[in-house]
Amino acid sequence: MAAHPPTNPVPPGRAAFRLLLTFLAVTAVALWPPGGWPWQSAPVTALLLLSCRYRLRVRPVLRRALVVWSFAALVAVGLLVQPDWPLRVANLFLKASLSLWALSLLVHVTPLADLIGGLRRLGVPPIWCGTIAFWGRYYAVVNGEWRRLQLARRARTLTRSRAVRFRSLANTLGLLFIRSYERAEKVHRAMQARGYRGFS
Amino acid sequence: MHIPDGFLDAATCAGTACVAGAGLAWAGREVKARWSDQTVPMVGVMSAFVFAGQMVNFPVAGGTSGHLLGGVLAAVFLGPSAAVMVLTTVLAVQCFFFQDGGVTALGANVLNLALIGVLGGYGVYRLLGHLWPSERGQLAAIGVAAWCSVVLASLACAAELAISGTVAWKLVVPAMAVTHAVIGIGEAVITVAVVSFVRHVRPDLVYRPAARSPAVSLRRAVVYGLVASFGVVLLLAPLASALPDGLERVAERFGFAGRAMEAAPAPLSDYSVPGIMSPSLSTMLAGVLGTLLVFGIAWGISRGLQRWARSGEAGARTDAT
Repeated sequence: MAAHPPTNPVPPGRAAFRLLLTFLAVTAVALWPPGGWPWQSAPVTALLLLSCRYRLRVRPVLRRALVVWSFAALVAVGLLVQPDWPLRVANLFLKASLSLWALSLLVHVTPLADLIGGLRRLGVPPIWCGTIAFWGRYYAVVNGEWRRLQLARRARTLTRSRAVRFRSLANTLGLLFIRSYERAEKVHRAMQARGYRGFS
Repeated sequence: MHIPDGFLDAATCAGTACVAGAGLAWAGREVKARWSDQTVPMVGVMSAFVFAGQMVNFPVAGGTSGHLLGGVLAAVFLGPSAAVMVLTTVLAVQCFFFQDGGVTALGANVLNLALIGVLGGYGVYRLLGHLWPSERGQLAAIGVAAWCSVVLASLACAAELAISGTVAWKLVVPAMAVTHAVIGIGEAVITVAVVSFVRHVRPDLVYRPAARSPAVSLRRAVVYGLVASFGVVLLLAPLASALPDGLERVAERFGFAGRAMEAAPAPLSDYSVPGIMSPSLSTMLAGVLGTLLVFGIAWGISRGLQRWARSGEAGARTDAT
């Protein structure tokens, strides 16, 4: 997930520390009462310094921020009736942006596998860590399967009818569901053959 | 519909996290009972499928496109508890790795999309599925369930934003309901199309609920119940009205309100904790303390009754011998 994953693996203790620090920082920023702008400059400065230090790429962060800002803009429309709307709107945008920035930095400096190690160290139940690890392992596989199915569908769907295209896309997604289900069963059998007896 | 950080206040974040935590603990237990050691590979791979499925944009009328949320689709084939786990994994991944939805709002997003959306939608599907048992009826039930899952989740999201004081109720509830009623139609059409294909090709994949749920240990039931109760208290305490109740209103109107006498000083009078200046925090703390107190009294009475019943049984056995 990180744009430039570091080559060296992050030890679980350090990953757990980063996770905890990010969680505390995001919570503090998100729950800070509106106003108090001089205090808000502290996380901005810290994030700026860390982003320069770890060379966080701006474009992917901005791309994700656009999604959050569009939701914030919708909510901001509802705030325009309030007398102190500039403060409230600025507060919403600032908090959402700072939190997004902090999380982007976390996943930039810590690869998924190391983050899962950190989650385990923090005491997250093994069933959840295992599920997220499986997501990370099989997302690329399922996505690749989807691309192949799409290519085959496009090659065989010669009509321009919107209804036929919709039906064919839905059937392809249904086929992807069946293949994912069967893959999960196969993976489980392979794991059992190697001695897997479930997460405690 | 993913709420970012900074949109909810502390009480709503904590309350939704408590309710979502209790719901996830229940889902985890149910899933392990159904899927055993297959839980992790099945939920993990199906999370990857739902995530990939959410990326697919379908052409919808009017030159617009929509994408699948997948809650009801997962519930129809994997069961409601596994679908809750799948959607929660997707939401956690979206939050941490794609910054879609906030960390502090993760409890609220899980509650809205994974619990209320999936369980509400699945409940509608089961109810209508009994009423319309034919093949077309089942598909219609799935369509209505998918629509309901989106609308219910959006209403929960609107309620949380309003409880937090971010947006007024009268603005956010109609706006979210109308927008998601339209989005829900797309979700319903896509879900029905995908489910109809999978049911046709692999009818054996449709989830059949077990006759009996696995037994819950008393300790776990107590912990889940208490955590969920605290969540409800934290969420609903800000909505408590300061207006007098029916009896107080009548008493004020007929002039006998002043005759009320306190038998003893109440420690949490008017649902507030003395010494705490913030009225909402005071109400919340009083609610939490009240919940603990009621739980303690009910626990004590049940233990006393249990002992009394056991001693009665032992006495009857002694008389019989």
